[in-house]
Amino acid sequence: MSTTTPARSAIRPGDVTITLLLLAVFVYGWVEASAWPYRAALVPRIVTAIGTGLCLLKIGQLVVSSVRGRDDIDAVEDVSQGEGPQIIDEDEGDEQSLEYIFAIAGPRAWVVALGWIAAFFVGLRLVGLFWVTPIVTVLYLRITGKTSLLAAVAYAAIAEGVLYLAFRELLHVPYPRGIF
Amino acid sequence: MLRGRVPGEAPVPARGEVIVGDALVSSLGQVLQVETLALMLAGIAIGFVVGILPGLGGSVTLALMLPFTFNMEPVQAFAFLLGMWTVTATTGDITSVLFGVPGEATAAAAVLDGYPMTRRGEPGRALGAVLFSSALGAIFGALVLAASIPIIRPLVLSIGSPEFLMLTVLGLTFVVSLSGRNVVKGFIMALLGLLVALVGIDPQAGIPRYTFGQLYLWDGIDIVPLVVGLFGGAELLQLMLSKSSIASQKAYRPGEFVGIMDGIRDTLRHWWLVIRCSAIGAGVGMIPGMGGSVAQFIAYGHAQQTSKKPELFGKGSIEGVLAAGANNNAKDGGALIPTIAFGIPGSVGTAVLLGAFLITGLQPGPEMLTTNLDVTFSMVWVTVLSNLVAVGLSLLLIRPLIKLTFISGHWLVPFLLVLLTLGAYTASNSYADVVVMLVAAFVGVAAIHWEWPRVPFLLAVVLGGLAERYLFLSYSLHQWAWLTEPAVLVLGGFALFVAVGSPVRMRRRARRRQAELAAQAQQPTTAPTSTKPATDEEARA
Repeated sequence: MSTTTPARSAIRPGDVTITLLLLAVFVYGWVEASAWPYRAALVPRIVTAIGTGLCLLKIGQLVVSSVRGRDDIDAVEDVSQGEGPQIIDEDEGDEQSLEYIFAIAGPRAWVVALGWIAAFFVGLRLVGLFWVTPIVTVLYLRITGKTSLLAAVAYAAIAEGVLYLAFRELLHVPYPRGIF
Repeated sequence: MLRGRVPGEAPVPARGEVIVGDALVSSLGQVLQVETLALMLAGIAIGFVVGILPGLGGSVTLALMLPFTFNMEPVQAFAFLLGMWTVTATTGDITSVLFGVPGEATAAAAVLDGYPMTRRGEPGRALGAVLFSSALGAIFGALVLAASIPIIRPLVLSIGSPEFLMLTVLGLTFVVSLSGRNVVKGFIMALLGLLVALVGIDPQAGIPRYTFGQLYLWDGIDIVPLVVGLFGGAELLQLMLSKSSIASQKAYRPGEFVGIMDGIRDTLRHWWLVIRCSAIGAGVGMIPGMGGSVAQFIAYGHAQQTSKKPELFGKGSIEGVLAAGANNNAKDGGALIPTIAFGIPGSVGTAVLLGAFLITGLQPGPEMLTTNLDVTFSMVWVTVLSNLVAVGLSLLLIRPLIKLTFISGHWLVPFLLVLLTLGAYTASNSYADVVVMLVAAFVGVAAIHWEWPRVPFLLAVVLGGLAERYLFLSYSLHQWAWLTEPAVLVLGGFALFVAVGSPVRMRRRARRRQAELAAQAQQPTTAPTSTKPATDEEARA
């Protein structure tokens, strides 16, 4: 699987959106903290003030990069990517493949994936874990996994059995129950 | 030191010696209890599978397993979690060697020489070398952890609130500075994490902060659903979107596992290299925020520099394999030192482990080196025992376990959905935690997609509460005079150096690179040159 990511434009809408969103969060945090006593407000105001400043700095960087093209910021990125062993945190090593998959997945794939996740959690709230697990498992394996009905049912049965034995009987872990 | 000795009576050892010796023995006894051993073996089994499967990180699984420790005793909880976590580093090397796909991000260096060895027909030798050196590295890291405890105790006991505060700040700056190219983003995410950590009842004035009138938020946002969503959500979505097996390469043929003993002999022959690379792993692992990805390449680079045949590195050098293997496990022992002694996580995994401290009612810091010393030593024993068991199992079960890597993603999705749900829900038996998990998953996916680092956010959430508490304690005890304490000034200066120095160094590299590119562009060339490797194979060549 290729690990190259799609080419980036000088300004990425996602960066702008996230930065503006975070700026709004920090500004809101500052305003909210204004009404608190001194001790309660001290750290929040420090954090939100610095956060606001850095968001403005980031916006400035994005504006500069859109004016200059791929000179400053992306040149630094190129350096980071191109020279020998990379000093990256252990999280970013996985993220290169994740980023690639997220970038190339089409809108339909996203809608389908998010739809299944939504269906699971809505079902969870309605009928609880022990009902939604086998239902969603069978449906997902049949529709998306294109597995046989027998395999899907067997998998669901084993999963349900493991859930019941491990979490209810052995570990006594409370599990989510549904409204109905 | 002898006190009150009567002739013929055995000497009375000093108080410190009795405590350490007793704790060492009693902790082994606790680890060897049936229930604890069973939990450790369960953790090893989980870590074994997780380490083999590329895409399922050890830190993510650690976060998913965290809620199940609620009803466990501290020693049992850490036997389960550490048994799982320390093993993922070992087994992650297996897929690195066999398929060229790192099972863990920290097993990337093992690909550089392990995979070429497999391709030229020496998978057994490479596996034997990487597994055995991993085991030795783990033992070394555990010994460093154990040996540092008597030394680090007086140091920790002399550290007060101001010093803990600066260590917290230093921990944050290390992580942020290692956001790679996204330094400003890393800082912003860290500040967002601090803001999240402030949600709840203010410990100073007792008023609710950022709770939006919700009673659930009065206790703050639990770390577990945050971690589960932030990391597990993205992994789940990746499997659903890719619709393929986790590992699709088949570079090996069953039966080609002879030579494992050759690899073990290579490890013993290069024992000094193994010790040096283990020391690098433990040392770098001790530095909060550095992480295994940094340590592995430092160790690899050192091995190449000191090798008599450096030209073989990257083409199947056994020394490269040994360096990667030894470092990989030693770093875990090193990362535990600041976590246990100071409550400052040395890596993402130890940041999650801090949650285990909170769940089991333990307080990182001086207590872990005094009243809870047996729990600390139990971690040492678990690290050693679990790696020995894992290596033994690896050697026995390599062939059938490899088949797991070819499981199609859709078989894992339902299982992961349930695991995420339970992991979040069991934090406080509330659906609100599931909502938090989903929001965190959304944040995690957006962060990956738009390259905003998640680790600074997580560590800031963990460290934020501590930082505020130490700040007010420092002020209460010393007013503002604590700012002029020598240790505070040194640590603060170091934090400033790390925070500012990293982007300055990157900017200098960027200018140097630009100059090189400009010079290359002006020279006439006969063949096209690329400034960026197009594939990982070219980067490794």
